[in-house]
Amino acid sequence: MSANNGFDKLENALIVAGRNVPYPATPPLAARVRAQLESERAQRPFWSINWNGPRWAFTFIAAVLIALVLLLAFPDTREAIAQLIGLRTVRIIQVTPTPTVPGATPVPSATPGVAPVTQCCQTTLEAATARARFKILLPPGDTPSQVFLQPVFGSGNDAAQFIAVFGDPNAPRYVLYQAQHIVYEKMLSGFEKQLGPATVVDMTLVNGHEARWLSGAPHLLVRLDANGSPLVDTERAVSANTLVWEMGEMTYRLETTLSEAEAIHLAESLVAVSPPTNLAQCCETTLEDARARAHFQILVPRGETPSKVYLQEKFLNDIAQQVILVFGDAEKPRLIIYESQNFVYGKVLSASSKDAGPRTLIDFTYVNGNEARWLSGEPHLLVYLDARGERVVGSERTVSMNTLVWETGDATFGTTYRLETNLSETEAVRLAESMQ
Amino acid sequence: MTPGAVERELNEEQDLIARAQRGDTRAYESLVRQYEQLAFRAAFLITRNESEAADAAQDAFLRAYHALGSFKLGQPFRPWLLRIVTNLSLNRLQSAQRRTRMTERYTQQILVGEENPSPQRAAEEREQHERLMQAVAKLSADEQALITLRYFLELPESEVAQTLKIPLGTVKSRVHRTLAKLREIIQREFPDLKELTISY
Repeated sequence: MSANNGFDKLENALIVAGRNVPYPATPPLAARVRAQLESERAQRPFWSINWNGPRWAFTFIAAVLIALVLLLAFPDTREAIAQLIGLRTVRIIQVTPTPTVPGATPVPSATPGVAPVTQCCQTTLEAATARARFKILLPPGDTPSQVFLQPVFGSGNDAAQFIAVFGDPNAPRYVLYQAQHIVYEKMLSGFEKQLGPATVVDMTLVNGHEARWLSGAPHLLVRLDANGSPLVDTERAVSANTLVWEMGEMTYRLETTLSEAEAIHLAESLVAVSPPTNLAQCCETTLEDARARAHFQILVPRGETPSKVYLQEKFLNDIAQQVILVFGDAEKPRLIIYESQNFVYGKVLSASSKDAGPRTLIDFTYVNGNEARWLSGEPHLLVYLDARGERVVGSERTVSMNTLVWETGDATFGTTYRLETNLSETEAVRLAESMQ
Repeated sequence: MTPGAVERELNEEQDLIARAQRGDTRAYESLVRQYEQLAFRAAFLITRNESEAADAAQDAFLRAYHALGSFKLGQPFRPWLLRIVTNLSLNRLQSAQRRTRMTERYTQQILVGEENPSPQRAAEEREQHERLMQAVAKLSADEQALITLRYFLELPESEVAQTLKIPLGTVKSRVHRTLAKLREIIQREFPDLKELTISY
C-alpha cells in the first residue's frame, strides 16, 4: 500500500504499518458509556450535581449539598460524595460543621486572598531544580519571589513538595504547589457557618488532565499518610481560589486570585525548568588524582600521556562524573577523550533526511566487543541530557572532529567513552582498543 | 466529501455536543459512536493491550462527558477527546514493568496472525510491519504516543499540536527527534530494517 509522498522512507513505513495493525474489534463503547451514564444518573440522589450545567447551578446545588451533608453524616454517603468529585491524589469531602483532624490543634483560620507561605525549606530555584526528582514546572515569563523544596515525611517514600510564590511574599499573586507521591484531602463545609457561602467545586481539565476548581468559601487542606489517614498538624485553611490537577504521579495546586479561565490558562502554559549545570570545562587536575577520585576506571591509550586532565564532579546530577583527557597541544589538541558516568549525551546530526547537502555519517562498529559508533563527515551538535532524558539548555557544543563513542557496562553502572580525533576510523578503533 | 457536507457534519457534531452539555445522554451516545473506533485504536496503539485499550477509551468518554462543561462550543472535538484518550492511555503505561509485559503481549498477539499461510511478499511485508512496531515499542511512552498520533492515526501536525496541547513548532521538532531516535534503535537492534533509515 502506498502512503503520502511528502514523507521519507521511514515515515512512509510507519504509516503503512499503522494501516496494517491487526486491531482487535472495537468494543461497543457507545452502548457501554450510555449505560454507565444512565446508571450514574439513577444512583445519584435528586440533589446531586449536573457538572455540565450552568455555573449558578453549581453554586446552588453545592450550597444545598453542604446543607444536606450536615444531615448526611453517614460514612457511606460521604464516601459516595468523595468519589463523585475527588481526584486520585486529592480527596474532596464534605464534613460536619467542625472539621477535625485526629489529634490536631484547633482549626487554623483563613486569611483572605492567597496566604503567604510560612513553611519550611526555603531555597533557590537553581538548587530546587537540581535537587528535585521531578520536573519542576513554571509559567514562562514569570519568576517566583520565593521557592521552597520540602522533603515530606509520613506520606510515603520519596514524597516531596515544591512551592513557588509569585509576587509580594506577604500578599502573593499566586502560589504554585507541585507535589510528588503526596495525597491530600480537602474538607469543604467546615467554615460554612462562620463565613457564609459554600465552597464551589467545578470539574474541569488542564491540558486534558482532570482538574478541580475550588472557589467560594475557604476549605481546609490536610495531608494524608500512606494509609490515607490525616497527618497531624498538616491542616491549613485555604481561602484563595484553588485549581488542582494531576499529571502522572504529580499533583499540582494553584492558589490564586485569578478567575477559573485565567487559572487554567496559566496552568496550561507551565513549562519545565531545566536543571542548572556547570558546563565549563572546569576542574583541571592530574591523572593520578583523577584516577584516585573517579568512580570508574579511567582508561588512557597505551603509550600516550595527556597534556591536560580535568575531573568534573556532580556534573548534571549529584553522582555524575566526567573526565576529560587532552592529548597534544592544549590549544589545538590532536585527541580529546571524554570518559563519563551517570549522565547521557544526545547527538544532533548535521542534516535532516530531506537536506541534499553533506551530512554527518554514522558507522556502526565495535571497540573490544562493545558496540560503538563512528561519526564523521559534517560536524554534529552534542547536547547533554538530564536525568529525564531532556536536553539541558545551554549544553550544546558543536563537534567538528570525527568522534568514536562506545560504552561499557550497563545502563545503570555503565561508562561512556567519547574520543574526538582527526584519525581515521580504523586508527581510532585501534587506539580505543589499546586504552588501559 | 464536499466542503458543504463537511460543514454540515461539523454543525451536527456541535449540536450533539451542545445537547450532551445539557445532559442529553442519547446525544452523547451518538458522539461516542462517531469516535469510538478512533479512541479505541489510539488507546490500543499506546497500551498495546485490548482490554486496557477498551477500559482507557471507555474511561475517556466518561471523563469527557463529565468535563463537557469546560468544552468550548465551536472548537474541534476530536483533538480534545484524543487528548483525554492519550493521557489516560499513557497513565496506564506508567509502570515500566507493566509496559514490558504489555509489549510482550502485543508481540505474541501479532504473531498469532501468522498462522495463516500467505504469499511470500505479503508475509515479508507483514514481518516488516511487526518488526517496525517492535522498534517503535522501544521508544518512551510519550514518543510512542507522538508516533501513534502522527503516523499510525495519520493526524496532521496541527491536530497533533492541538491534541498534545503544544505549539506546532514543538510538534515538528519532537517528531524530528523521535524519528532520529527510532532510526538509532533500528540501526542498533533491528538491522533487518536498516533499509528504512537509508535516507538518514
